Amino acid sequence: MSKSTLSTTKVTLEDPQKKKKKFSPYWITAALFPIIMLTWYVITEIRVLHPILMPGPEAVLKAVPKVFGSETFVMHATRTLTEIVGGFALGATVGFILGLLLGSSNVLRAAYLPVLSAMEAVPTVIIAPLLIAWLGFGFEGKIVQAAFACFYAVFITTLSGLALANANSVSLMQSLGASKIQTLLKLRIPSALPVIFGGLQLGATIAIIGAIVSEFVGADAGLGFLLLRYRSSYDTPSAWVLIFCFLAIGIATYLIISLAEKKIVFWRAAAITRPDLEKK
Amino acid sequence: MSSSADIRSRGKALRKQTKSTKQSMLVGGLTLVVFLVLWELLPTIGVLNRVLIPTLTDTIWGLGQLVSGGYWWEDLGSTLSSVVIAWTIGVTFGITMGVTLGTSPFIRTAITPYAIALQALPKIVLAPVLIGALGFGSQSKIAIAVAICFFPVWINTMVGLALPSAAEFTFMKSLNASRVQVFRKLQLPSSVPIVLVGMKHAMLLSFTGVLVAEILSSASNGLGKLVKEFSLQLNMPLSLAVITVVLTIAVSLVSIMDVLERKVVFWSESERGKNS
Repeated sequence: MSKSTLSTTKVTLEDPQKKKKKFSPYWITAALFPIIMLTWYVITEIRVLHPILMPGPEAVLKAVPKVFGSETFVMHATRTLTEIVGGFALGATVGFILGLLLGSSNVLRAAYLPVLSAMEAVPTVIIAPLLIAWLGFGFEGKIVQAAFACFYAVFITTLSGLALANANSVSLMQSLGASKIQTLLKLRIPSALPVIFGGLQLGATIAIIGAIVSEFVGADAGLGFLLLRYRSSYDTPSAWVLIFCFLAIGIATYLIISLAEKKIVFWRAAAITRPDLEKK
Repeated sequence: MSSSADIRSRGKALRKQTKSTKQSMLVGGLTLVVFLVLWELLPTIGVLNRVLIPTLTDTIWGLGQLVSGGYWWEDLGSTLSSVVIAWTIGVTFGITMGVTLGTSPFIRTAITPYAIALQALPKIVLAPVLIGALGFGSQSKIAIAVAICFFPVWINTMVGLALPSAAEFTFMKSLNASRVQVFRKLQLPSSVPIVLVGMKHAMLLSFTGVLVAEILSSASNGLGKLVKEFSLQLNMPLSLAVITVVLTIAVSLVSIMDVLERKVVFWSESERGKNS
């Protein structure tokens, strides 16, 4: 929903005659980039902070070949990506199944929703030390942590999405003699998909955070582990390279899920390009 | 851009729609009993390792030991005060940024790509760098929590200010409303509910940030440090006891926010039901 509201800004408060003269706001977007870089450069040049703590852009650029060139980088990156993908897949599956179960039975929903919805308040990082004691420093604990962190977003969106099916369509399905499973597969899940994708998008972000945090708490490999090692050897430029790696992972995940959404929920693409139609 | 807080508010709406029946209470109660019995039984008879997974009674005993031991009050106070301070700073910062950058549609469109990039960055990766720069004390805890928690407030303020439809803006304009009037009478009332949801989410994130900082920087005090220490010592009953305390605090904080939300935005209760 917010996707549409942010982009509706183009339609608001403008009259059509002005529109032609106005130059695109994306020029500002482009212009901001060098300004941000320059600010970064100036701040580090005048040494607001010691360069060991806050390196300048050139130092970070210089560190790029060193970080990517090191023999172990691929191993660490593969490890972290495995944890993120594994944790997200596990968490999303569990969340989706739980959502389906609670969405199709009123009894189960009333019985378990109060407990499960308390999950929205829980800072899941707190179990990270526990998971290390239980599962060790390997990737298994990280997958569990990421899954535990992200299942709620998918669960709650699946559950609320299933309730979105149009009442008329449901009675049409019933009058055509559709079974409960058919109604679920052909009507309720498709109409829930746009909402579920919102949950997947958020869940993926949280899964990344879960994987990183549990690597911080204790790991024997991974980008988070590497980041801590660079930090403790005061190689801050390399640590910043890794921070940008995480930014890249975050953006890539966002784009992949958006692309999947466009392919799978293709009927909504029209609504996204014309957000003004969607709004009532 | 998907606003995470929008998703987070769904749980409450759903809970409100769900009516519990005798049958559901029976199912819920039975599950709870089975869970508790298994928790007590499996480690005792040796299916699960009792050192790693303490029984229910062990955990309750640990909780008693924790509460009666004097040392943990300082940790509790340190964590709670850091969470509240960071949340206050983060919310103030987020709303200020949202209002300055969000009132003009032009600027909003211009900075949206950066907002998306910032959202995609798992901001927790800044934690080691911030600890390196600010030390192990409460400053770094607060800085990390602020870095994480201001974001949903900022985004939700921007989204909320853009919430009124184009027709409503045109209407205000046709009544010759000034920029300030449009903001005060149209944009502000429509944005308050969604900003409050963002503030609630910020509370959770602030708590997360503080805990991460405490777990990461071994020199500071706090509940996060306690869990880490107890787990490292394989003192699992106490570890689980602290986790129980954290869960209780987290749920109470969010419940307080829920009550505040109901009091402040009494007018939008039905509105939100329709939208979500």
